[in-house]
This record gives sequence, structure tokens and C-alpha cells, in this order.
Amino acid sequence: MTASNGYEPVIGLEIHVQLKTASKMFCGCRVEFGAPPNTLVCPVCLGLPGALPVVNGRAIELAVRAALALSCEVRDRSVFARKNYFYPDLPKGYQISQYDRPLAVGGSLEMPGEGESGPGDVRIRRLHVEEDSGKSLHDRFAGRTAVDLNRAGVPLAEIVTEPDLRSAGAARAFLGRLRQALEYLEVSDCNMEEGSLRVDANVSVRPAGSDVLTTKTEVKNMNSFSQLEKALEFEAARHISIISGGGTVEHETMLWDPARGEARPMRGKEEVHDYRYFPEPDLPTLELEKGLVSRVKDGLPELPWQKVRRFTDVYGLPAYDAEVLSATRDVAGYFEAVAGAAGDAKAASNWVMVEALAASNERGLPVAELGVEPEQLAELIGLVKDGTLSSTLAKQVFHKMVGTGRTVAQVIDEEGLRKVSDSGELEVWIEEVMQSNPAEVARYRDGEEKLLTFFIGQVMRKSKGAADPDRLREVLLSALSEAD
Amino acid sequence: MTIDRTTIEKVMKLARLELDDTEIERLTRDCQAILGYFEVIRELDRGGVPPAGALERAAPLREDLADADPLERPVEAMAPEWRDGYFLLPRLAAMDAEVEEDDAAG
Amino acid sequence: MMRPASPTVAELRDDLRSGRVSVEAVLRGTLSSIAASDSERPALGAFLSVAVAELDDQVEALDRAFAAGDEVGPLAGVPLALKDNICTLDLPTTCGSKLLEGYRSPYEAAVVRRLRAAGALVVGKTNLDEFAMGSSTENSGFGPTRNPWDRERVPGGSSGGSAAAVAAGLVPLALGSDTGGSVRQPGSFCGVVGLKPSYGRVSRYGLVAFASSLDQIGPLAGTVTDAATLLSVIAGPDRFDSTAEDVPVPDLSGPAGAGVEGLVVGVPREYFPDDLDPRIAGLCREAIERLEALGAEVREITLPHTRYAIAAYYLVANAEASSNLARYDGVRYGERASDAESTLAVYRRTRGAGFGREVKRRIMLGTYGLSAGYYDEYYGRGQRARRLIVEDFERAFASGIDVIFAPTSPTVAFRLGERVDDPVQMYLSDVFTVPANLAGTPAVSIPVGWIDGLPAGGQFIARHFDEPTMLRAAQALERALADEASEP
Ligand SMILES: [Mg+2]
Ligand SMILES: [Zn+2]
Repeated sequence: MTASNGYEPVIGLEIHVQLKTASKMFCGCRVEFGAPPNTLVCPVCLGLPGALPVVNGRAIELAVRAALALSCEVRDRSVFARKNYFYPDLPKGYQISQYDRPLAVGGSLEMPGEGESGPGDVRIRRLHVEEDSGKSLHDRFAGRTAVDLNRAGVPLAEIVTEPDLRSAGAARAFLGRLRQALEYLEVSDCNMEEGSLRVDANVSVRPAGSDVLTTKTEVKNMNSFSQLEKALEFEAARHISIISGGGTVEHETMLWDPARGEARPMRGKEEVHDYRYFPEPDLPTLELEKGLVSRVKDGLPELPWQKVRRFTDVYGLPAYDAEVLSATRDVAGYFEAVAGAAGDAKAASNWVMVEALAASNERGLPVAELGVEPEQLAELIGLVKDGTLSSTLAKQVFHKMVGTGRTVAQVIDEEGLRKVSDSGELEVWIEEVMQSNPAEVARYRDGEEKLLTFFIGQVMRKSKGAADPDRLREVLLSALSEAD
Repeated sequence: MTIDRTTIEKVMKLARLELDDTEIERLTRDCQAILGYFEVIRELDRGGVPPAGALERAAPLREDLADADPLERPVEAMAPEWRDGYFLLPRLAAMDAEVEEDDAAG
Repeated sequence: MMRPASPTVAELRDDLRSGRVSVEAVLRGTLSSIAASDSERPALGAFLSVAVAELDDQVEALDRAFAAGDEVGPLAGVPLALKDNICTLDLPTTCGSKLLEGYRSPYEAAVVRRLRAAGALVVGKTNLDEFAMGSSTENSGFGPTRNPWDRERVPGGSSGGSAAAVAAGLVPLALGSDTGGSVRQPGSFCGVVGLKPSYGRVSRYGLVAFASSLDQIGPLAGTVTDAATLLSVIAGPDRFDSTAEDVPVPDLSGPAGAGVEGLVVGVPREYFPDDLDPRIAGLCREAIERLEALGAEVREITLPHTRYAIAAYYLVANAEASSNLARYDGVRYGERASDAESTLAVYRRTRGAGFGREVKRRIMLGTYGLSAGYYDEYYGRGQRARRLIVEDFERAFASGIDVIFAPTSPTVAFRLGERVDDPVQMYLSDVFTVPANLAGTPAVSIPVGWIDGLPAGGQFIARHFDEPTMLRAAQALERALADEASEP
């Protein structure tokens, strides 16, 4: 979105991601989406009298991993704090979070080449760990709110950006990039439908290019990437129209309504929240074990944007191809294995981008689980290169390997998909084609030599792609030059 | 350090306590007396002492295992209202079109 | 010194081992004396619930084990009472609150698991000030407990039921919880030993939280040795409590009889103010002379920030309490107000009707003290004062003091109703006990004498995790006073 009426939006995001652990943040309850309500609960996450929290070390490690990938400064010592408020799905009446001493501060996420999306890097203000709340269902039973505490206590990382985003599109692009990074890091599933990735935004507008501070509003309930973009566009436009009409924006929380495509102030003029934060007395200081940060740093996978750069530099791939191949760790890993085994990155890239991704989409499986080992695909590429298989035939071989785990050799053998270069076999097909196309034969013989391609195509079709193109050309030329 | 009735009423809301008039009156008086007694602590304002904070030692970390302390009785045995596996309560007014309430999601 | 009527743990163990008495008989005797204590008028009111058939299997198994001469736990067959803020499966856990009337915990506190493993018979749950907030056990939602030495007087609090049960000879052992003196002060009022362990010594898992950074479960017993025995059973790290420290539990019986020869006993000047009841000051001074006579070196010390302790304590404790008690909202458990027709009404009415006056007062003060604009003024100041009090103790112990001795309470047991309408006076009865909670140090109160037929206590305070030295001194004084009493 470009500045309108000379105003530009100023957007900051607050993102909650569920950390991919087996058990909850402060108790040993299993983490699972979609289990029957209130079955994944224990004294701790039910907030029973007398229950106490114990920190899940794995959750901390995952949060450290995310923080390092976002170039944050990770603090050796941080402090849990209680955020006090009443809500039916908040069992203890407070959320264990972090407040004035978070786990990590001051990072950034590279946002290259997004043109109008704003400044190159988006600064990360802080990253901290906390526990999720349960779920309140307001529509399931007439007149009642129903509470399910399976999600209560699931570990979360809260990531807060500086207000560095200058358009709804930039916010969407940033979130996409962040999600990609977190998936790469295996820190979170980042599934917006299942709620493992949630985003709120702060929006204000100001005269383009100035750094005037203006009143911001908070926007909640944006449940997909496109809703995020629409909601932010709506809210920024609302601010601009208020301000350019001489009004003032009120500081409030807006709830996005996807059905109506509008954001409305949250009902009931919520009493200004007073969370009464104080250090969580049930938990001593969170101290990172010596060497944890450097160990996690050493174990960080190559991040998507680093991969893109390497794919263009090392393999000489076009930027677009490099982006597609780095979209997930699965595809990137598969591509690199094929490229390595085949010794031909260009061919590997074409095969993975076209055939493997098509099969993956069709079957809803990651490419690594298609049943085609990278070595097998590499072998297939080799057979095309040395002329043993036509590329049409090779594609057939590939798709017959998918889901079966058969090797190239097995498929060729069992399906009879060899390349035909025997002149006897080729002559049978040529004969048939010439007989059914006498006019074209005559025209060719009268000197219309470009018809050769027509005959090659016809024979190829008859052979279902099995004819060896070079050999076919030879035999065809001689057949056509023969007089009857 | 003192507290008036208006503040008491504000804090009541924050603490989700319903009190009748007599209680509010008495509480205001009690709180004033108690806070008056706590005045002594102001003497410490000189000197810039850092507050005692979280326990200095390191929090123990547990392994990421599904080893929750089991419940020896079903959850519904203690629930004031329960249906189909859910805890129930009167519908949150913030989600209701008709009722005004100052109870909002945090 | 007069001792409660029930036998010591060692005596009981000998009787059970030798077969002079069965576990079944012990239990029957205990239950009937509990019943008797409540049938007299006015009732003692020490217990809120008592085990009936719940212990049958355990009793039978123990009697079989004793008969067979099998190895049994250190507390096998010993009747024990639990303050009703410690979660049990069989018996309700009410915290003395109407809001939790009939609440049955679906899990058991860490200490209870250890007690059962040690063979103890958990015979009942004792009365307390609601959610352990109080110093007289008058704030219970189920009526007060009375002092066994004078039933018109309070037993102290908040562990008044546990102290009274031991003092009346109903059980040899009981557990209480001590947040600002709630084990030691009733111990003092009832003439029994009350021990607050170092913060982090005993798991709080299953202790219903009042003020998390101060709460600690502690024994009440007839003798220092019995209190130490009980502590050694419940002490130690626990995977469910991050504040229970992973340090080995020392042998707490080791120093038994070691005496105080060579120990340096610090006597803090601030604990003997000019307006202290001279009879209490006198009994404590006599105790100090006894210690000196036993070979201890006595030094006057100063803990200069003591005068801020009450304010610091209440500012911190109330803040934590206001948050800890937020979970009682009538959604998942507890007594929901029946007429509530909105979410907000469920909260407000459940809490308004369920909590008693003192609890509401503290929730209000704590909420206020944490609220925007007041945090620094209240909670912040409280934590700052707390640090100074911690440093007072550190300085004293660094100067070569091994153990501190002081009165436990500025008064003996007061009359029922005497202080209920004067919260400040009530809070002042904790003046000598809260510093040890703020500093996390261990402290134990033992009876030091009688004033007009009412017991008075003195307390020993030691370095964090130095229970052995503390118990050694306490035991030496206890024996010396007992010898004196038996002198013709
Ligand atoms: Mg958050
Ligand atoms: Zn749990």
C-alpha cells in the first residue's frame, strides 16, 4: 500500500508461536491439537490449589534458537513474571510470562528486495517465553461459555517487532518470512488454522517520511495471512480518513471481523488493563546453562534467506528458482541431494521445481516422502543426458516411481519403458505414419523439408515417446528419401 | 500512603470481589489503618537499595517428557458445571450482543 | 517443662515394635480422644475432618508388618495431623474457607506422599485461619480453634489447629505452614515445638499457596527430636517444586545431645524492645543464661532493619496472595455462587461470598499494591526492605554468630475476639517471626516457661540450611529446661 493523502502506516507486530515440544511449558501434559476437551490436563495446568510450575528445558532451547536466528541478544539470566487478569480460560488468574527481564532483546529480520514494503530490516524488540491460555467457546452451548484447558500451558514464544513496517503488504511479507524461518528452525509448526501462529498488530499513521508519533490502535483476530493484510489496510485507511478529516484516533483495541471485512472497537470499553506484573515467586531466575547459547548457535540450520543466496551464488540458479527451492527445508534438502548426486544443479532444479513439486502437491506429501530417492532422480537425469531415455519417457519413469519406492531400473524393466533405437522397430512405426499421411509424404518429397518435424512428432506419438530421437531422425530421413 | 473509597471500589473491580456497603466502609477504614502503619517503610527511601527479586539461584529445568502428575479423580468430579467434557459458566458478556459488562479478554 | 500427654515418636515406636500396642489400637485411641476434645464445651475445634475408614488398609498392613518384624518406615503407625491447606486425596482440603468447602484434591501434596511412604497415619486435617491468613485461627470459615491451656484463649495461628492438636495430646506430630510465623507463634501459644525449615528445604507442591516466596511447611511436635524426625521425613528436593532446593538433607538426629559448648549465640537487641512484656523478656533472659551456663558464648547483636519487617512482610505477602488467590473463581472447582448469571457475576459473587473478611482485606491490599502507579510505592518498597532484612542476618552470621535466640511472640495467647477488629494489633503479633520468613532462614520455637498458666516460647534462628546447628541448640535448651523443671 502506498502512502495515501501523504500519510504512511506505521505497523508493529506482536506474534505468538507455539513451541514444538512434546509436553507443556510448566507441566508434563502432552501437547496435542484436537484431543477431546480437558483430557490433556493435570494439577498444574488446571490451576489447582497447591500446584506449582516447573520449566520445560526444551521450550527454552527452542526459544533461544528462534532468538539467535533473529539475531537477538540472548540473556544469560531472565525472569518469569505473572501477568494478572481474569478470564475463564486462564486457570490461575495469571499467565506466567516474562516482563522487564525477557529472554532475548534487540534482533532483526532481513527483508531484502521487497521494494515498497519499507526498510530492509525489521527490528525485533524482544522475544520472551510464556504459557498459552486454554480456549473459551462462546457458541457451543446456548447462553454458556465452555472452557477447554487442553491448550492451557502450551509453551509460546512472543516476538515483538519495532514499528518498522510501512504497509499491510510489508507486514504480510514479514510474517511470511518469519514463519518460514521458524519452520526451518523446527521451532514451531506455525499453523495459523490450528492457532500455533497468532498475530496482533499495532497500527498508526503519520505524514509520509516524518517521525511524528501518533496514536496507535491494536488490531486483533486476524486469522490468516490475507486477513492480516486486509485488516491492516482497513485500519490504516480508517486512521487516515479520521486524521485527514481533522479528527483524532482513539487509543483502543480493534477486533477484525473477516466476514464483514471491517475492524470494530472491542466491546465494553475494557477497563484499561492493569496486569499487575510482578516476578513469579514460584520460579527462580531462568539461567541459561553455560555453553547453551553457543551450542544452539552452532546447531542453527542455514536459514532460508542464506540458502537463497547460496543457491544463486553456488549453483548459479535464477533468484526465482532459488526462492522456490528454499521455500521449505524439505524441498531445499531434496534439491541439494539430487543436485549433488547428479552433478547438474540446473537439471536438478528443473526436475524438483516441476515434477517433484507437482507430485508433492498432488499427494500432499513432502518431496522427501514421495518415495523417489535423490540418487534415483539423479540417475534418471543421467539417463536423459546420455541419451538412454527421452525426457518424456523419463518423466513417465519418475511418476511411476512416486509412491512405489521402485528404482529407475525396476520401473524401466517392469513397464518396458526402454528407448527404442532398433531400426527394424522404428521402420514399422515410420511405415504406418507414411501410409496414413500420403499427401505430406508427397509434399516433403517435393522439397517441403520442414515437414520432417511433423513426421518425427507423429512417430514419437506412436511410440509413446519411446523412440530414440536421434536414431529416429536418421531412419526417417532415409525412409523418406526412398522412392516407392 | 492512604486509600479512599473510590480507590477501594476500583480495586474491588480489579480483584473481582463483590462487597456490600458495610464491607466497603469497614474495608476502607481497615486499609487506611494498615497502610498508615506501613508508613514506616518510607524511611528506607534514601540509599538506593535494590529490591529483593526472583530467587537468585537457577530454576531447575525439566526434560520435555509427557510425565504429568496424574489426576486421581476425574476432572468433572470437582467442576461446578460440566457438560460434554467442558467446564461451563454463564456466557461471557463481551461476546454477547445484549449485555454490557466491563469484562474483556486479556 | 510440661510436655503434652501423648508419647514421643520414639516411645510409640518402641511400644509398636515390642507389640505392647497395635497400630489399630493407637488409631482407635487417637480418634476417640479427638472426638472427646470436641465433645467438651467449648469444643477444642482442632480438626476440620477426621479419617474414618480411609486408614483401614494401611493400619492392617502395618500391624502385619510389626507382627512379622518386617522393616517399617520411620513414622510407621505414628498418628499425624495435617493443616487443612495441605492437599490430600482421601480427606477434603478446605483451607478453612467456605469457598473450598468439601473440595477434594485429585492429587496429593509431596509431603503427604513422603509421610505415607514413611508409614505415618494421617488421622485428620486441622483448622486454620482461612488460607493461612491470620495469627489466631479465628479467621476460619468453620469456627475457631481454642487454646488447650485456656479455652477462652486463641491457640495462635494460622496453624492453630495443628498446634492445639499436639498440645492437647491428640497426636504426637502435626504439620503446619509458616509464612510469617504460622507454625512458631501457635507453637509458642500452645507450648509445643514449632519448626519453620529453611525456605527451599521442603517441597511446597500441594501446599495451597498463600505467599509463595515465604511459605514453608513445618512440623509441630512435643519435642525437638520429634520435630527433627518429622522434618527429616518431609525434607528434600522434589521434581514438582522449582523452589525446593536440590541439596542433600543433613542428618538431623546427628547433633542430638551434642550440647551448645562453644556455640556463639546472638541475641538481637531489637527483639527485646522496652515495651516488651517483662515476663516474656524475663523468661527469654533466663533461657539465655541457661545457654551460657551450658557453655555457649552469648553476644548481643543488632538486626537494625527489624522495625521494617512487618510492613515489608505484609506488602510482599499480600501482593503474592492477591495473585495466588485469583484462581478461586468458581469456574473449575469450589463453591460457585448460585445466583450468578454472567461471567463477571460468577467471579465477583463467588469470591465475595466465599472469602472471609481478612482474606478480602489482604486481596484488596495486595491488588492495590501491585496496581499501576503503586507498584514502586508498595510492592517495590516491600522488596527493598526485605533485602535489607536479609542483609541484617547475613551480617550477623558473617560476624561469627552460629545461632540467634529471641522471643517467638511479644505476648502469650490472647483472648478470643480480643484482636479481630484491630488488624494492626493482630499483625503485630508476628513482629518477631516474620524476619526469618523474609530472610528464608530456618527457625524453631520451643517452650521456655509459663506465664499465669500460659506457655511462652523462644526461638532459635540459624543460617539458611543450617538446621542441624539450630536443632542442636534448641535441644540443649529444651533438656536444660526439662531438668530444671524436674529439680525438686
Ligand atoms: Mg503474550
Ligand atoms: Zn498439565
